[in-house]
Amino acid sequence: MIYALVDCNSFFCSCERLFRPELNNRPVGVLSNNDGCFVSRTTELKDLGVKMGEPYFKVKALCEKHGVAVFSSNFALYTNISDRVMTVLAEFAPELEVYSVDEAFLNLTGIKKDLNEYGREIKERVFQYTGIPVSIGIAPTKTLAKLANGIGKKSKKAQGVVVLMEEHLQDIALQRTEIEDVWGIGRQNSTKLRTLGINNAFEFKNYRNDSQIQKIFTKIGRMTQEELRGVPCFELNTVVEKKKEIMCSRSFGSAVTDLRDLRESIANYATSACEKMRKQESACAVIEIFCHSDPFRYSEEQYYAKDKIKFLTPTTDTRKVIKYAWQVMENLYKLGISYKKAGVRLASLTDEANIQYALFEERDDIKSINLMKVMDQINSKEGSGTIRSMGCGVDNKSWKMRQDLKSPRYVSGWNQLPKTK
Amino acid sequence: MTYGIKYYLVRKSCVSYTVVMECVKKPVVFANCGLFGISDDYVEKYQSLDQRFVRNKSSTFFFEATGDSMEPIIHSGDVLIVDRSMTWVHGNIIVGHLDGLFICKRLLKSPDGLILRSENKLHRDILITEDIDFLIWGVVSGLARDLRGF
Repeated sequence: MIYALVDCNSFFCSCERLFRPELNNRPVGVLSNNDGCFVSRTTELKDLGVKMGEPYFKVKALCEKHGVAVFSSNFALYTNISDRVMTVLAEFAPELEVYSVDEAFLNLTGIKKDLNEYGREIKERVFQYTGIPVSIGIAPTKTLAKLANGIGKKSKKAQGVVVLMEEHLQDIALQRTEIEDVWGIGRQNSTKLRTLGINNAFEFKNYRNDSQIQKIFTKIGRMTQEELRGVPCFELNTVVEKKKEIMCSRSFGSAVTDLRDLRESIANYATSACEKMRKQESACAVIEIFCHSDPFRYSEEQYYAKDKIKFLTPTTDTRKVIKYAWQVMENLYKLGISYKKAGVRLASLTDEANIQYALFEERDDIKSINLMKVMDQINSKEGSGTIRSMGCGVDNKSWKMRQDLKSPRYVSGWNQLPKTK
Repeated sequence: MTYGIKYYLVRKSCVSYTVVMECVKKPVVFANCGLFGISDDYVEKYQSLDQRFVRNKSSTFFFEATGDSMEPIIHSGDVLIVDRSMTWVHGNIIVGHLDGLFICKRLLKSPDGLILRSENKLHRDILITEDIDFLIWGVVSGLARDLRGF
């Protein structure tokens, strides 16, 4: 087998740079929802010592001093560019697994060309078509491909493409890879492995006490070990699995104390969760609501609450979800608390097609199903929120996310196109 | 054909009724055989502008032109269809990036370096020498203009 892992370099930042080429040699960072902390950094920003997940307010002064270009996350842009990258990649292999928004596994088994050259060709094509720089690792197993990719990112000489098809090359790479950097080995497991004297991937590969490994972290650990030895155990997951639960939650831009604001935020989260649910053609039987105060404000009264409601017949109707979510919210609400975050989780998802109907509970009638369909169609065409429940509010956005540094909608809609002189 | 159930009441006497259920065949959709017997085989998709002007969806982006430098070909407010998959050749109109701004110009080769030429003769040529930070972003492959209000 031959697998390739293609990984976009500092993906969110690269998307921002695509429409701001003047930032190409400057440090760029993208913040999480609510402008909380860094979720994507370019090498220049890493070199300044800014860590992944570092809170923005802590390094704001540093960023200003070094002229760091900081952005709020613009997920509409990133998913659009991601889709383009994946489409280009799909042309290079018969099988492709979209592993995350910025990573994909390709099955290159049977490719007759020189793999190094082929990798370079992929890299150049993706950059020409989409403007996104990628690194590529090619190896006989997924775990080794991931590892090769990691090496390629660090090494300047490799120029983003590393092929590890021969064992002696694999061994050198394994020796250079710390045990916690191996794909699928978590922090907990790596601590345990280190107590066994296993510090890097090479030592793990050659550790012969199979039952010990099995004991520490079950079958997955053994499979990972086999993969490092060049025996493929993980196949490509080309079928997109449906999510088993859908969650939508946000921190508020400023503290919320009023029940009305909380209800409004819950209605919005429920709406977006329901949209996602209908998109994957599921229906939910459990709605869970949670809300809590700001754990970093020690001086204030802390409150954390969650509760759920169960239906006998699963529903897809946003209005029904909002209605019951509000009931739960009203029970959870406590006066005098400054809420920082709230969220909605839809669980017990079943396929819309094989819903089991309960005898004594009203189910979604054909009218409501059609209404939801029409709403989804309009909203996907005219922009989300064009048609929504009154409960989502009109303009009162005291609870809304803070996204002060968001880039324009370059690739969606028509009123914020990039302009040329 | 599907089956439906029809309910009706039958009067037994002046005070009692019986509910009768009857299984009936009912067509779901009344489909006509089509205009003069033309069958579905001849139905083709509507034309779409994407089909014609966006040859490669993953590499095509849209920009908005501003200014008068490319008059009379390109007006301010026109939508530029920019295809990154095309390799530029001498004389192509391209979107480039110069001095922190996107520009739309005709790109020419010359012995001294690349030349950015405006269609509008009021604008001068820009010679791109080695020390100038210039980037070719993509080739303009088409143009869309709204004529409502003209």
